Parts: sequence; C-alpha cells; structure tokens
Amino acid sequence: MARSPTKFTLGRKALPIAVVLLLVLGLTPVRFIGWIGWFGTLTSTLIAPISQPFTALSRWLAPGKTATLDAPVVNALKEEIENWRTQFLRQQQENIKLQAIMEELYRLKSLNLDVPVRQVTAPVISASSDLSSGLLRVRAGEQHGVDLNTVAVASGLQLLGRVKSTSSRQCLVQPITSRSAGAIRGRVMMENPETRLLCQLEPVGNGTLRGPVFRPERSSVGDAAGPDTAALDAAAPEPAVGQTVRLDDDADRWPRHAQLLIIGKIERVDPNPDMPLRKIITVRPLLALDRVSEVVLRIAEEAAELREENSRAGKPGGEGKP
Amino acid sequence: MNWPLFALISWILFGLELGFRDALRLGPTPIAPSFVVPFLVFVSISAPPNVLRIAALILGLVTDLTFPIELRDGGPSATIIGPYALGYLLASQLVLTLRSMMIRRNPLTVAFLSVLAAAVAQIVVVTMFTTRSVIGDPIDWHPTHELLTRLASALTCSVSGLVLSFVLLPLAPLLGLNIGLARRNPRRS
Repeated sequence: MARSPTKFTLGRKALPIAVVLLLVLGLTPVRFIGWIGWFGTLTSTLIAPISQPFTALSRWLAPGKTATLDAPVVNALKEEIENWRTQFLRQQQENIKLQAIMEELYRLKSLNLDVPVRQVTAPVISASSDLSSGLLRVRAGEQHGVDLNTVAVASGLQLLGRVKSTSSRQCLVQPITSRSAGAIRGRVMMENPETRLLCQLEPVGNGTLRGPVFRPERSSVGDAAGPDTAALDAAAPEPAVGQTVRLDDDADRWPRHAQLLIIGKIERVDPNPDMPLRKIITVRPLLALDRVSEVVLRIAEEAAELREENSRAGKPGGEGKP
Repeated sequence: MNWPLFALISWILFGLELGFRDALRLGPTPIAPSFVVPFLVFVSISAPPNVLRIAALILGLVTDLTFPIELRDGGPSATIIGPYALGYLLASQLVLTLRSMMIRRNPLTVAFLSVLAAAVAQIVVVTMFTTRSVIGDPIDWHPTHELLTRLASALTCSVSGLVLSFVLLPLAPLLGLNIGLARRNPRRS
C-alpha cells in the first residue's frame, strides 16, 4: 500500500542505522569531526533571530554587573579612568621593559611596540544549549576581521576571554572564568607601582579564578623553592582584598595589546597549605562574564592587514594561533 | 503530526533554551530548567511511536549542534553529534512506555515525565562524554560533578514542564496529536 506523502515515519531499518551512526559520531575523536562545526554554526544562525531577543531579555532581567549600579555618566567616567590608567600602566611597563632590553634590541630599528587596535562591538546572541559549556556566541565573525584567539573585553576594560571558533558572521568566545580556559598569569596592582607581584590564576568554575602569588624574580610559580627564593617570598608584599589584578602574561599566549587589561579584584586571600610563605588569592571579575550582553573584540591592525594580504594571496593567516 | 507547527514551536523553545535558560540558573551553577525536554515529553505522550522517535532525534540533533564544547587548556571549540540525540531518543522511549499509565491531559503528567526524561537523557549524555574523556579526547570533563548537576537540572524541569504544559496542551489538536481531549461518540454523529 502506498504511504501518504504527509506521513513522515522512520522505517524498520532506519532507526537502528540512525542509532549506530549517532553512536559512532558521538564517540569519534574530536579531531576527526571538525566538519560538524559548520552545521552547528548553521543551526545557531537559524535560531539566532529568536534567541537574541531572549538573550537581551535575560541580560536585562539578570544583568552581568556584580558591582553596584551607578548612573550612566558615572559609569562612563569610571570607564574612561580605567582606560587612561591601563594606558599609563602599559606605558610604564613598556618603559621598564625597554630599559631592560634596550641594548639587546638596539640594532632593531622598528620596534613597533605601539600596536594599533581596532575595536568591534558586538552583541551576545546566545549561550550554549548545555550550560556546562561557558562559550558565548557573538554576532561578529571573519567578515569583521575576527580571528581565532582574538581578545574580547567587556565594558570598563574588563578582560572577557578569547575567540575559540569563528565563522563568517559569528564567533564563539570563551570567558577566562570558564573551567576549560586554562591558567592565566596576572599582576596584582600594589599601591607602590615599583612593587611587582604576579599570580598564576586557574578558573574555579564558579565565576572566579584562584591561584598562588609569587615574586617576578621567579620565572614561574613552579620554580623550586631554594633558600634564596624562600627569602624572596618572605620579603614579598602581601596581597590584600580589593586590589586589582591585571593581565601580565606571555606575549605568546596573550597579545601585547591585551596586557594589563583587568582580570578582576581580589576577593579572598588564603594561606597556601603547601608553601606557607606564599598566599593563594581568589579573584572575581568586575562583571559576571557569562552574563554580558555585549562584547568588544580587539583586533590588532597588523593582524588584519596580514589577513587581508593572505586572503589576496589565497593563504590562511591571521592574528591567533589555533 | 503537523511538522511546520512542530518546527515553529521547536524554534521558539530553542530560542528560549539558548537565550533565556541561563537567566534561570541557580546561582553560579549550571543547574537550570530545560524548555526543550517538556516539549519532547509532550510530543512523546501523544504522538505515534514512529513520529515521536523522529521528533526526539530532531530535537536531540539540534541540541547537539547548539552545544559547542570547550576543549582542555583553551583549545578551539568542537561540536559533537550524538549524545543528546541518543539521550532524547531513549527518553522518548521511556515516556512511550509509561504513557499508558498516565493521564495525558494533566499538566502534572508533563511535569513529572519531564523530570524522568531529562534524567535519562542526561545519564546518556554523561555516559557518552565520560567514554570520550576515557578514550583520550581533550575535553574538560568531571563525570560525578556533571552527573549531579545534570540530575539537579532534571529536577528543575518539573517547573518548566508544568508551566509549558499549560501552553502546549491546548496546542495538541493543532499539532495533530491526541491527548484524549475531544473524544467524539461515533454513534451520535
């Protein structure tokens, strides 16, 4: 008997085949199923017209700001102060760095330290259907110059995270507080600008980052603690609740234009049970990073130019390293 | 089944799932009610078996495709097809088995079955991702924590199930589903 064209049913063999196919795809290693991402982007694009208004409503009902809400003018002024402070600190850091490496780099004529950055403001259109993933889908993509590892900031120069996947019109941003984001090195801003105190922060999973502080004389937190380093730790200034922590990571991991962006403020200082002379700090960003409604993507102009040149030449390229 | 209407309702509910669900989470935890599971339950209590399997596969596939997974140590994201598709398929089978014992037009039925269906689906998802992490995929996965938070999320589906049932149950005739609302006596007509 002929089946009605309006009745859409699974045949006897189709269901087992579908189940086996899904099992195979569900267990295939990630490196072999990168092509599925295209379908994911397509699906998200189809859902975006309805998810974006709901996202906006959700952010309006439960905004990402953890600090007390001020008048818009006060917020704008605060943001401007932070902007100038960041620029000042960055220049100060560059001066120290330049003084230290002047002789080594003397032969290089074009240092090009003042990296021009183009900023693209884009709305968050959706989160993930599974809340265990902290990725935010943002309406800006390769068409806007966004590339893998493009740095994203929220308002007030709060470091948000990095781009983890791009399509032509959308990208996925991984906040620094996301559990899979990995460690990030910060600098505790002491009252005396001459004093430097670094920290190696790991995302906890509850919107904060936690990790030990150490003196910059150590190359990293994992250095063996000899008698000299122990003395250094003992002489190190103590971090305090409320101090700001800014990004101070390797240029290989975070671009220069992202350095000294705000990671957050110290919320707790605990003793380190393994190393009594060192403290463990808990840092909370100024905003709930998974609740932001808009992000600013900072694209280095040199990377954009390189990408344009590569696209003209038909080669892949860009700012980030996948 | 009225597939265009099914697609429209799914589109709206996925909009809520992607856009609004994180506003309902309990504090900083990922515990939040789902909007898609109650719809899956609603279809599963009233559609013919073949139709509900297709609906479960569609809803599961879309959930998988809108779930970008973070890879360990800041690696690029990935999308995986299978966990939710299979989870929803199994959940719909559970509802199919239980529906003969339930009062289909009662909103509490949707609420109760949503909890069971979400729990079954999440167990499948946790099983598949745990298997992935065991075989060496670079995903940041903590099975016990994931299972507990997902089962807690399943409990919260009772709320979304109850609320959505008041919207979905009146739409059953339009969707071409039978929840036993209007049973005509053939002798009278």
